[in-house]
Amino acid sequence: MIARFLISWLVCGAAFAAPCQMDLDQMAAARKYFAQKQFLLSGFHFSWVAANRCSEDLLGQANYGFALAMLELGESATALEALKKVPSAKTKSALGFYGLENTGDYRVDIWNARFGDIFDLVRGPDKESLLKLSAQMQSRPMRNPWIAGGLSVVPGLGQVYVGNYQSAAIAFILNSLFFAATLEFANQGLVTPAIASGLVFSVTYIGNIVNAAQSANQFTHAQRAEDEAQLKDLLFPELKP
Amino acid sequence: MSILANQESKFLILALMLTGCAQTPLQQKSGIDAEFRNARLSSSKSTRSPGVSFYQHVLSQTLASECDYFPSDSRYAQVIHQRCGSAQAIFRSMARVIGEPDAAHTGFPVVTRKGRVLFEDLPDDCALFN
Repeated sequence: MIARFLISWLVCGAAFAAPCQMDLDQMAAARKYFAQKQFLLSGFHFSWVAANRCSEDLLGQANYGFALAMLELGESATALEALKKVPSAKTKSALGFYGLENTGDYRVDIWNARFGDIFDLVRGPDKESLLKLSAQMQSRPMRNPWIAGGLSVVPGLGQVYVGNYQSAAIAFILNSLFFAATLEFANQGLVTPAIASGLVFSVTYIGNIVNAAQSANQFTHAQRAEDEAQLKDLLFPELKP
Repeated sequence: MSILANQESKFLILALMLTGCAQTPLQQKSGIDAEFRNARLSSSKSTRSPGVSFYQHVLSQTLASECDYFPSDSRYAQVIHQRCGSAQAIFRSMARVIGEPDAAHTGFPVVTRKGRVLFEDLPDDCALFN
C-alpha cells in the first residue's frame, strides 16, 4: 500500500515538476533525426510534440520542424498546412527556399544560381564566405550533360567522358550487337527480324544517350553535394528546426 | 597456392575495383524516407504496364534477379510508365540498366533496404535527361 502510494506520488511528482519534459525529449529526438536526414522519423516526432500542445513556443517550433521535414520529403501540401501555424519570418524563408513562393529574397537568387556564376549576386554579411564557397564549387570536377549526350552518338563515348568505363563497355557491346544484327538481317533480306532487331537497337541507342546525359548530371550533382549543404547552412541558418 | 589466397592480393584487387568509387563522395540517405517517397510516387491510379507486371510476378521470381538500385528496375519502369508514358519508361529503364555497373562512380546516394546497400534513384520527374 505504502509502496503503491510512493510510486504514484513519484510519477505524479515527476509529471508536475517538469510538465513538458517528455515533449522536450521528443523535440531533441526529432532534431537529431532531422540532422541525420531521417525526415520521416523526424516528422513523426515533431507531429507528436505539436499534437501535445504543451506550450505555445514548443507548438510553433514543432510545427516548423514538421513542415521542414515534410518539404524534404516532397509533401508540400502537408507542409503548407503546418507552416500556416508558424511565425512569418521563418515561413517566408522556407517558402522561398523550397520554391513555393516568390519571396524576393536575394539569398534564394544565390541558391538558384549555385550551379553557375553567383559572383554578381553575392552580398550580405557572409559575402566573403559565400565567394570562397562558390570558388570551391567551381573547382569541383563537373561533366556537361550536353557534351556527354553528344559524344554518345558513338555508343559508350559519353560514358567514357563521365568516367563510367563499365557502362561504356556495356553500351558499346549492346549497340554494336544489335546494329550488326540489323544489318545482317537486312542484307539477307529478312525483313521482319531486321525490323525487330532495329527496334531493339533504337531502344539501346537512345538509352545509351539518355544514360550518358543523366550520368553527367548526377556526377556533377554528387561532386557538389557537400558544398551545397554548406551553402544552404550559410545562406539559410533558419532552415533548421 | 593461388594468388587470391594472399590477403594483400585480395586487398589490392578490391582497391583496384573501387578506384572509380573513390572519386565520388558517398552520400547516405534514409531507407525509410526512400521507401516512403517511392510509395507516394507509385500510388498513381493510372494503368500498370502488363509487360512489366508479367516480368515482376513471373520472370523476376524465376530468375531470382537482384538489382543494385532502389527501387528495382521493374518498379522504376512501372512508375515511369504510370507517370510519364511507355516511351519514357522504355528509354529510361534501358539507360538505367546500362548505368548500373557504375552507379557508385556516378554518385547515386546510398540507402539500406532489407539488409542490402542499394543506390537510390527515384523516378521523381518526367525530364528525360535529368
